[in-house]
Amino acid sequence: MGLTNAVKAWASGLRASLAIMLGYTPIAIAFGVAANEIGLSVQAALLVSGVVFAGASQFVMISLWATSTPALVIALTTLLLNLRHVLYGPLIAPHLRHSPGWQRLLAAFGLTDEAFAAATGRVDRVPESDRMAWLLGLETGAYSAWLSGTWLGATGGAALTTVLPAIAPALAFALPTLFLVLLLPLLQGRVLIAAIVAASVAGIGQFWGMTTASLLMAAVLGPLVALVGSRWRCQQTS
Amino acid sequence: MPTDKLILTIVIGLVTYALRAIPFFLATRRSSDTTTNGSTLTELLNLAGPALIAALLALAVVPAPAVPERSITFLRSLLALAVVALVYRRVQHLGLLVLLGVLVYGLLLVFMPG
Repeated sequence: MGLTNAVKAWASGLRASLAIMLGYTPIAIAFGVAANEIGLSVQAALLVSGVVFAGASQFVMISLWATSTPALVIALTTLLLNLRHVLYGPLIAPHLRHSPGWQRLLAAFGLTDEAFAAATGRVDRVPESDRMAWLLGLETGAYSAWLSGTWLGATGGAALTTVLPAIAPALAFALPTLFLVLLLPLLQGRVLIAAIVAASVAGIGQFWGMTTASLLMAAVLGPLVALVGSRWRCQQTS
Repeated sequence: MPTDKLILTIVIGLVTYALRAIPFFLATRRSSDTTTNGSTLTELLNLAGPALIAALLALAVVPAPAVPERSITFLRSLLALAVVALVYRRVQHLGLLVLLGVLVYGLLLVFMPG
């Protein structure tokens, strides 16, 4: 792949990350504000966002810190919360099998929920030789928004907490909208069945407060029900 | 930052990275070593991507038990997404649709307060 093509693909990935940036910024600002409130310095808040780069776990982490929870409990809780990430790599990997190992290790760092969803919906439309640069561009945008939002929240402090409640929920709605818009063109045939089953399982689980477990169950049950259903229908018609 | 919190941050960062990187790396090696096209596993993996996006959508829309006024929050989300889905039939521009979702949800926050 030529350098020019790689730069173009990276820039295209960066543009594709705009929706994620829009959604990440207010959440990262909220994290910065929360970190500031429990007494973390700006540098410490940035370090947590830069090293962990996983929204829900970061909030859980600092809220458990604030209550002096033992380190092992904090580590295990965030491990459970992030367990869903093991599912993303195997689904993205087949699209990037010609990329060098070090690039795959680099791309894995930014494989958040939103980056995974955006890549799943769009990476197929990118020429195979440009896919890694495109994904790295997408992740660069998401990571930059996450870090700059954290910095804004940690430095803005009290001023932001008065403005944020009014705009943050609306801006944060960019993320569910992004998931919907990525999903809509894929919804046909057995993909539709898999999506309905997975959404139902995850939604019911979330209602009862079992977020991670329900996501893992949704990832298994959705495809399984759709596949078994389509094979059963084939047998009935033949 | 105290040393114990610094170490914990690095450990959690490494664990999170390992959860993302190890399956990614192993799956890339397997997919280039074997030809599994058409197998049940490949079919399941092809369905798992959209299923996971649908599950993430549900998690983002259904409020967790700790969220106050869950039903109005849920209703606002459903209404905003319904508008986006309707407009999607005419306009398929990702950026515009995301902005529309944000705008409609913002308006619903004003006109349907909790």
